[in-house]
Amino acid sequence: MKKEKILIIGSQQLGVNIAEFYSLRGDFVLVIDKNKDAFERLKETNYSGKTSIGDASTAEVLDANEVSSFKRAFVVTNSDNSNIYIALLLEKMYGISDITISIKDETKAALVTSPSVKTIMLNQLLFNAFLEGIN
Amino acid sequence: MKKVVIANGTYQAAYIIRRFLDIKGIKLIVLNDDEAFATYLTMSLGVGVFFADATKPDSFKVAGIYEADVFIALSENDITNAISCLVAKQIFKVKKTISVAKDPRNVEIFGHFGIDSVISSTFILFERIKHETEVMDKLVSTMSIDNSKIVISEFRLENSKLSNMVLKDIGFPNFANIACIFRGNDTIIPSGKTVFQNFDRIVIVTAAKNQMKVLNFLHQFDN
Repeated sequence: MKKEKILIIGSQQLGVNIAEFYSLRGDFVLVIDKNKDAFERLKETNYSGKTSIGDASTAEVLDANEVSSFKRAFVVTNSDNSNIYIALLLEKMYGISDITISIKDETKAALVTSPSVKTIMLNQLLFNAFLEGIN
Repeated sequence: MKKVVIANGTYQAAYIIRRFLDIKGIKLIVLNDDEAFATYLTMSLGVGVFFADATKPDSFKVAGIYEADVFIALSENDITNAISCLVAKQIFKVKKTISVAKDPRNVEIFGHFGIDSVISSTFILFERIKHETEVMDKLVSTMSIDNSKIVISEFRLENSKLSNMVLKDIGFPNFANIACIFRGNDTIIPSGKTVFQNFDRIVIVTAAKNQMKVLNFLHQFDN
């Protein structure tokens, strides 16, 4: 299978899991997080991709990491606002057409109207998991 | 009556709110996510303030923002401003969104997001400095008299549409006078019929406070 270039913004648990998955698949993976301690979790996995420390909501960091060369991105920081904002930046300013973001507050999902951006509704997923557990 | 929403911000917001309160025919809705500042605004300006997160659609519902005419985002945080403008525009159908941006590059970026108007004080300051530098480049020398109340400026005409134009036709401002024109080795005391030429050095007498206005007037003829 052809190697993909995967960009991941946010190195909390979800970002770490996605990073490890694509890294094990043999893809080229870059994880950006503004907090260097966030990469500690990655070190405990079989991740072999790259990491970069910086605020991905700024053009400096996105330019420095040449993000326009990535075809697919996951934006999974702890902040809904940052995720929506960075997704817009990646799409409108860097031409990335396959972006997935996580959102906790589902009332903000209406802000994501572009077909290039898919949303993972975290609380909805969690609730569904509870339901499955109950049933 | 126009419905204007002001979201977040501190003393800049207080100033803008105060100015809007003086305008008739405006219904002002104020949201602020800083509880202490929301209280300050209420106490000092006597306006009702919703202490709320202006990036949450629920806050907009409570404040009655649907189909407002203008939404102004004044947070120090550019992401907060962008998201609150998008909530206003996309979900609550506000007609015009205006945002301040701390990072001057966001003036262009926010435009791509669909925000109608973006103001960056750094951007404005830079444009102003650039403009004044260009204007000052043409200023050969300047001196002041009467404790700096009166200024004599010498302005070099170069690549200007004023070349070959007649003084009486250019609408020269009435708060300044052209004392003389240096042309090569000649000194010309101008009349209304004087025709400007390239490389003329125009000596202007004006009140200090009007110096930039006159220079800007001459600058508008630049090619």
